[in-house]
Amino acid sequence: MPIITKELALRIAKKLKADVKKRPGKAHDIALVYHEGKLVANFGIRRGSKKNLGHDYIPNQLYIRPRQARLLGECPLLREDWITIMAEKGML
Amino acid sequence: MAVNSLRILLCEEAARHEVGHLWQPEEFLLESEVPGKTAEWAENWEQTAPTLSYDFVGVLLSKWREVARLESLEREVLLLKDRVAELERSTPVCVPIETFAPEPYKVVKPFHVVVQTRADEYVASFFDANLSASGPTETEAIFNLKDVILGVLESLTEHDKAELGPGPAKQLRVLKKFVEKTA
Repeated sequence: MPIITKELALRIAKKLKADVKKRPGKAHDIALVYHEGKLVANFGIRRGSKKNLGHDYIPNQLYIRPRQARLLGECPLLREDWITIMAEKGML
Repeated sequence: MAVNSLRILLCEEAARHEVGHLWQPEEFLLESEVPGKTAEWAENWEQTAPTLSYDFVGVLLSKWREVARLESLEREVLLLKDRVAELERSTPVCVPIETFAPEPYKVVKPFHVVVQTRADEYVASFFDANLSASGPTETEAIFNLKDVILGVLESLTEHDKAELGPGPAKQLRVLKKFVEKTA
């Protein structure tokens, strides 16, 4: 069972107020995360209908640990917290 | 009668040496019990029985040690087989990417992606560009990564340089080195 399922990936995208670029006919949609007008991160979301499709690669692309990505999707970690982590890593 | 006495004696000896559980009468049929054979007992068998029983227990003990050693080796071999299978499954595989056909993109310079197992899936990564994708098989993970590479490249090229943060800016620089739109 993947740590980050498609359902959680969609919740993470929503939480980060990502702009999800739909790509009909392709395998992935691309979630683009902006901060103060700049694109700061992106990740692919698989287009399959299964809710438990694996997205365990997302934490790397958001520069956070898998546990933090999970918390992000499950609520305890806020977008602001993620922005702070990104700033600390010099990714903004 | 003599055979029964000897058997009782042997059972007692086996119990005394705590190897009673190994006492398998059918494995140690006495000659007299083999169909068609006639028992020939020495007159002083009662004196030699303790020595015989001692030898018998010795044989049982050495057999028990051998069985225990073989069982232990068998367990170790099974553990090693599992470990080897797990290592074979989880060893990262490096795969060259030389084409994006039929998509309208070409590979300027072939590059490698790494495929690893994670949970029940395969994750393909192009580390230099910080891009990954997963799939139920190695092949699908690679196809998915190729799709993500093109999707991200399209998205990044739609932005001005000034609109890209450090991460996406680096991704674009790396991707442009390796991938180019053909039409």
